[in-house]
Amino acid sequence: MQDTPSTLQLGRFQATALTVGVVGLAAAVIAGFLSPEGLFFQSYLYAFLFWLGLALGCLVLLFAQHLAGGSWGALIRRPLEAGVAVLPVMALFFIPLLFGLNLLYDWTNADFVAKHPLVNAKTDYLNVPFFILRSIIYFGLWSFAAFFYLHQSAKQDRSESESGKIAYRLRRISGPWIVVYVLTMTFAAVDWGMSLTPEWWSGIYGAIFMISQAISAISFIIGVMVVLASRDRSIDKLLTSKRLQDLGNFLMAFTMFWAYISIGQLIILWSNNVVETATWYTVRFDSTLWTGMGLFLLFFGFFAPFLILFSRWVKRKRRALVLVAIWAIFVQLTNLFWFIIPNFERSGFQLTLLDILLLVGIGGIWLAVFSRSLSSRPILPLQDPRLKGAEHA
Amino acid sequence: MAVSSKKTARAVVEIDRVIGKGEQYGAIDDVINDPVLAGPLKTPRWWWVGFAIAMTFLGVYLTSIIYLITKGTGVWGNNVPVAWGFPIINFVWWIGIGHAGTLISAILLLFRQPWRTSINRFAEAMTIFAVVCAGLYPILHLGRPWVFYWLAPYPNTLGLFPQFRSPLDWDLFAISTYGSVSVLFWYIGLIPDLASLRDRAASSFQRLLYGTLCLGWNGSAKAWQRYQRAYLLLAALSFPLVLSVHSTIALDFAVSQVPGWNNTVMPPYFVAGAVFAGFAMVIILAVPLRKAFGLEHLITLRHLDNCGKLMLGTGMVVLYGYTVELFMAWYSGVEFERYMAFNRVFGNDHWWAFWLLIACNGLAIQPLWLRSVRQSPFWLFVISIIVSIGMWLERFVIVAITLTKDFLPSSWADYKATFWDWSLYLGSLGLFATLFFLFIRLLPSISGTEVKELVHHDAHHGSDYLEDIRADFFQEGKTGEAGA
Amino acid sequence: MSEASTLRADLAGSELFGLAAEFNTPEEILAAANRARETGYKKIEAYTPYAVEGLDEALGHQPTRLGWVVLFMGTLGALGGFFMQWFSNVQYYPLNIGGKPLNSWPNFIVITFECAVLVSAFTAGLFMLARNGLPKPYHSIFNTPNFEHASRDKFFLCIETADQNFDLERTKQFLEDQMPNQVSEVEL
Repeated sequence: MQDTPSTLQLGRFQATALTVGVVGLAAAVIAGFLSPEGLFFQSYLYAFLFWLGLALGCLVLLFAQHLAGGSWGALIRRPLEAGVAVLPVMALFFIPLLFGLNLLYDWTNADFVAKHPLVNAKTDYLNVPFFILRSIIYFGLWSFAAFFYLHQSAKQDRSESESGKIAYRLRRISGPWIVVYVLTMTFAAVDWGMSLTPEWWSGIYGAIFMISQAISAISFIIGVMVVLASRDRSIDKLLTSKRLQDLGNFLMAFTMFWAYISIGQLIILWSNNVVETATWYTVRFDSTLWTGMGLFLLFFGFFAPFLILFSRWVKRKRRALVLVAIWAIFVQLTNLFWFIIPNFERSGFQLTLLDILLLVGIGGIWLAVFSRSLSSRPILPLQDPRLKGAEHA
Repeated sequence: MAVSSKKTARAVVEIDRVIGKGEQYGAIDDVINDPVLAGPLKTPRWWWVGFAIAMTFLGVYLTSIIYLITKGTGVWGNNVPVAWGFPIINFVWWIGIGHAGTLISAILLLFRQPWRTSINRFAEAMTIFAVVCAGLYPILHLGRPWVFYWLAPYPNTLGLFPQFRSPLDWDLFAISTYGSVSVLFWYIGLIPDLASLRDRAASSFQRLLYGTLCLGWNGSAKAWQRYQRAYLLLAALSFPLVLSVHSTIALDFAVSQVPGWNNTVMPPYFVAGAVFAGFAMVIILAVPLRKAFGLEHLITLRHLDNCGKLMLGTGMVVLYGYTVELFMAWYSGVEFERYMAFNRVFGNDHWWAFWLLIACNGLAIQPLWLRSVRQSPFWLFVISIIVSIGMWLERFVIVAITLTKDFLPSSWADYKATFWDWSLYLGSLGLFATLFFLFIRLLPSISGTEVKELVHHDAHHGSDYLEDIRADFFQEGKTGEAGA
Repeated sequence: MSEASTLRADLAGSELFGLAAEFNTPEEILAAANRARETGYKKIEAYTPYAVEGLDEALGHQPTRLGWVVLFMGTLGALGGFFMQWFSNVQYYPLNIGGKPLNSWPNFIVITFECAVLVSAFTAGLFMLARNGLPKPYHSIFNTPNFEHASRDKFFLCIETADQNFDLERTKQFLEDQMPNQVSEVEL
């Protein structure tokens, strides 16, 4: 029916990414020892949350395409699976954070808790052993999902007779898995991000994290697909302008939803003006720098890409869409920075060398694992029933 | 009611195609237009019976309004602290029901989901009628409904302007925009079908009526080109509009400082709840409608299946909302928030409402994971009724129970709805039903033009290859499942 | 009946709107429209029961600019909506509510958005109707025999007399060559 999908040779890219990652991490560790106390962990948390978010975004898109996806889902399945394969590695990357908990989170500090009754009331939830236990549960579930889906996928490739059954099984369990993802990620966002401002709380916070992950992941996938299409004929043929437009529409819809819940949170907390919930915006609207970044997110993170993505032409042109996707990833990096870093009350210019080194370091390892997984198997799922008719659509 | 269990074979055939096979242009026209064009004497008996019942309730509605206006809002159970009782509960309930109509029309058009074509028309009508029912509530709630226009900005002798920081004024803008854009969208969608009715008119009165309403539409290619672009743009605008309308309603609650309302998860969770209730209402209307008019080939099991899926999805989001609400109340560490959550779940007076709503919205939808349930009109109908009740209870819990016990224990008070609360609510159902009966009698409840386009698309491109693949896929899965 | 047909013959040529050919399927009318355009006819129009994909291109119609008009008007609506709130609550009648700044822009977002949507939607709808010349109580094309099927199951292609290349005999022959159900003269 079609050319047998080839297996990519990504050895050189993988080696480069690995080298960059190791060098970046090593440099970060050295810079960390030379920097003021705590700076390393602040940057580490930021970089870690971004790359973990990318992997989790791939995970939820993998679920979603199994659940609802037509041929576009089958087309992007391999890159998604490769992104998911990084999750167990990200679990290992979490371990160093445990050594910096007391530098990052005020609620670990008994004096601080004693002085703040609202934080004191939360100690049933915000305490180190429970925090670690929860993190183990999150990573356990996510890694299990990663292994399970990769395993089933490999099984599906091998056997033609079983493929329909496996596809059906994956489809059926993807709904419940989305539920698991949403719940774990909600609490994970509370643990890792929200509790940086321990008195503050906001119900939509977890959802902003999730949609942010989805934006990063779909943008990343758009980039990967376009690169793959330039190197592989079968992908080139399948990545029609219509399917590209589908991916672009997802990016647009996610961007809209992200802006919608972010602005909703702003309107509510700003209007409430209650001591315990307004603090978060007080920090971010008090300095020109953070206000400026917030406005940048509104105008260049939402309005600009939204208006550009309204054009069908952009969504159907590979190169144009990739540019928008790269911009979207940059915006999400900024968004996460705006979420995480103001909590630390850094002085002066907020971006440090450590932020960049760690972003590059963890990212190098991430991409190395990703490319290793992507090149270990054919780049199209062999027995996906949805691909059998894909050329006709 | 035909339950699909013994009709699996037919179900599979219907999965193949959104619209039943072999429908031809003329036949489609007749199926849709004949009931509309039939003379007054040929109106089916069930219509007269239904219309009479609806009119009775409309009478109850008008009586309640007259009594309310003569006596004042004291006839309701509203008190201090529960200043927002039934009127706001029912307002939110109605407007939520309206949203599914817009969503079906707009979003599914944008995402090019062909299964919308058969149900979008009556879903849009449902939206408009629900907005009418909803919009009257806050106006009546004003106490002096005849001066409701004070909410609008206009030059007046006092030199006053509305207070635009208040979400209640946002409501005015959101709902009037929503109502008028919905009517516009619905009417633009109707124009070609009205032209088709004009050309098929049996009497000169009908020709005059539909000829005037269709504005002289002639179906030229240039007109179609502009029409389609305008329709798509309206759809694209309706999508964020729906989001904004119910978010604004959520903001009515959320920007206050009342514990239990002051939560940032409110806007999306309210929107999901609205869609959830709305799809339930679509099913409640679609199941009898397809039966009564013999539209089973146009509103197929596939449509119901998809509505069921959307109900399940939005229902799960609503459950997520409950979870986050309760967790955040506890996590906040704020005494009032924690007490509010406790009072909702275990409070002496109204604990049953919370648990009943969890049963209705949380448990009752779980069977929708099964395809056999989603494809059974009977069970879908039952679940939809339960969900409608559940969503009403949700608003009851959020609006009334939250207010009974807030910051000051000395001003705690219970809330009891009165006879006039109930009569106005039941009466508003009568208003909705009356309008709906008139609609299905006087206007085509399915968009003939769009169904024809779909049939053409099918014929032109052969069978929809992907859909067939998916059907096979189901089959394989089914046998695999049976084996396991 | 016969009187009417002689009358029609008298009027032919001088009082004609055009010639209309009736087809059964969208494929036929697409092909006919393409050929008419290639032959050099400019004033051609097709009348169909639903929007046939590609027919506007086949007839040589330019794409509509409705989207840009709507975008422009929507922006005006947003600016107008914000101005209304800013002017009335900051300039004209400043109100101090809960100690909020007079220009409480986060609280103005919702109405600004609603105004943008309202103006855009009505621009889209009304501009479309206006450009299509609706409402229009009379249009010559309705004189075409059997035209009531144009909203049901038949597809009509009309070459208008206003066309430079229009010639009653030759154009009639051209339309006959497209194998329609019938070709008829459409009175003005």
